[in-house]
Amino acid sequence: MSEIELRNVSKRFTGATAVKRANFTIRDGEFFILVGPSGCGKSTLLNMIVGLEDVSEGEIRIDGQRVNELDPKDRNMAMVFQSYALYPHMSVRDNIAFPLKLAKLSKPEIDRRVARAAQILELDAYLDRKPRALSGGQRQRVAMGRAIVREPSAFLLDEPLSNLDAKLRVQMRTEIARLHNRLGTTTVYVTHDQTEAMTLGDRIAVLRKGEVLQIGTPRALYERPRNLFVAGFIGSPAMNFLPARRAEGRLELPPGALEIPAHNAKQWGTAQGPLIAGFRPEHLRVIGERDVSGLCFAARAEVVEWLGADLFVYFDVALKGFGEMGLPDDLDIQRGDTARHTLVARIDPAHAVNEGDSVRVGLDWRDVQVFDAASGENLTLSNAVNEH
Amino acid sequence: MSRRGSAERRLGLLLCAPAVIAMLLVTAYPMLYALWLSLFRYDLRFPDERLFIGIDNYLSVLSSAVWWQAMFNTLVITVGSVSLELVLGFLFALVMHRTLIGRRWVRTSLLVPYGIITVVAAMSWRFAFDPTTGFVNGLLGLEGAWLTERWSAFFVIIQTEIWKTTPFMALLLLAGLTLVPEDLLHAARVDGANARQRFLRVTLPLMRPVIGVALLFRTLDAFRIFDTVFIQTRGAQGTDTVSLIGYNALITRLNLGLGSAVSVLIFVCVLAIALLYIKGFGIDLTRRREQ
Repeated sequence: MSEIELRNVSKRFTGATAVKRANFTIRDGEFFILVGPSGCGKSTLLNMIVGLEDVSEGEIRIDGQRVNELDPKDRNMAMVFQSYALYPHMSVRDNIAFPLKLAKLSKPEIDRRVARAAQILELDAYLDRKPRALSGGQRQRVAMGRAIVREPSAFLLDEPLSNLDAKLRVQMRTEIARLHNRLGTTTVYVTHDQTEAMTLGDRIAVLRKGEVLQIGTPRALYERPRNLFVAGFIGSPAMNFLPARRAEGRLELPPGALEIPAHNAKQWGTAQGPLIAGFRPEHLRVIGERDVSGLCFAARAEVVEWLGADLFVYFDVALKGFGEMGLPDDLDIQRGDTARHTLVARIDPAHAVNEGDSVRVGLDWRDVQVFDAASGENLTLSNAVNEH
Repeated sequence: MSRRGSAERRLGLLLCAPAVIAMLLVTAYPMLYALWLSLFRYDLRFPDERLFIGIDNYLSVLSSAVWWQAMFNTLVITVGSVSLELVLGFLFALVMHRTLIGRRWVRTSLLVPYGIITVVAAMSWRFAFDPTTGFVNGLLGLEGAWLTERWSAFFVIIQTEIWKTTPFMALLLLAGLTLVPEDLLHAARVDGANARQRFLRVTLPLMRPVIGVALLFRTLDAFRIFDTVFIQTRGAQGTDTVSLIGYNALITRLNLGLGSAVSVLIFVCVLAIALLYIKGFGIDLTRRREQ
């Protein structure tokens, strides 16, 4: 068990900065997630924590002790790789026992620990097999087994589930969560999948282009994203965005205007220039004819996706008169073009909406977050306290 | 098998046929012919006295001290050169693998000896070790005539072999090194293995098939050594090898029967070495690479 502290940690490769001044503390026993699109520096950060990469600048401390100069083997951390990195010439038993043999533990102790790990991970029946005779999920478990036998002070997992198929991924996700609950070991988990991040993490750090954009609980990131990127990256389907502009006591959006109470409007009144309004799919409600609270507009359901418990309705909004939104490219949520933009609503399947139907949609001003289009900053939060 | 299956199989055999026929013509026929010749007393100087004598040629070869002496010499050269080539080849492969700057230059320069014709290399080294014209004695401050004594002659022969074929070994091993996934070495590092343990417990076992193939090729080559010895000593000072014995019987003395028996025996040895390696290293020449 240990606390991992990063103080202004940077990593520079020739000609590029992979990590810029990362500064945060991973608490003892915490399940901490590093999430971001590919190339954001999350794996580099993990490799620096475990010692496979040197730190260009800054300091990493484990339980208050500087470890920058320590070799990986002296950091007492265990790592699970995306490729699982099982030794193909060793049996499952030898794979799991490998770190213990290197640590020169006694034979009975090694046997005891291997047996216990195998029991926890339900690998008893496979101990004498070679990795190539195992399925993807089993290999993943062997990799976990090799990590837990050492009883390390921290687990580092680098995209451990991305080589599995969707169903197995969900299953292993819960197994990893259960394992963490059982062992209570500090865990740092790298993923590009925001669903994994949301479901597993006590806290999440969102990285982009080597920079830590925001750190917080899954709920905090979802409800109070500090900027446009975090808002768009966290949540599935992604947050809806529309270009917006400020008017007297109102926020004008392409489908209409939202009345904003004066004291709220003041909060984001400082920003000049174009704005972007963001709201979650579940905040678009299907409303009746007489409902006139908030912003109400009619739209045609272009695509309807029924998922049993949810109904996703996609519809287009003409951008008439509003300029193009500058959404970050790496968000990968560019829906539409200069003339129109696609919104998605998550609604109760009890509403029988079919493709081509015209529906009345409502949006409350309280559910709208306003971002500065230039800086991406969430203006709705500018006075609020960010949760760490 | 379905009709389509058997038709495909027939097509497959048909497509293989030209290669199989070519192989039979250029390898199986000469080999079988040599085997046939070895069962005769057949000397080109006395062609009329040709006579079927069964395994007598083999008996006379196997009971001759010259053959066993040559076999011993061949083994000395083989073991001496191949073992040192393996060690040096590994060192070079590791250097090439780790080199970050001038990688191409390093690899190319290391391969130069392998590009030189064996006869030329053997002559160059003969001159280099020559007591009057060579640079070796001058460099080491010695005065010996290297190729006039048995063990020093062996030294010259073996070092010529090593100089010439270490690059080949290094290249094969380098290919093997690049096949060891970086993740495995990282995992071993995190698991607590130091550089030596990573090499011995992860890299080496994973390279076993490659090392097996490299050793197999080189051992077979070294066992059949001819040109270096022919150029440097011609088998003098007790440095005869089995190939030289075969050459002398067949070409110098024109004794087709005896010479063929020697060739067949060499072939049997080569076959035994190959089987030994394939069994020992678990080399499966037919299996495709696993993912």
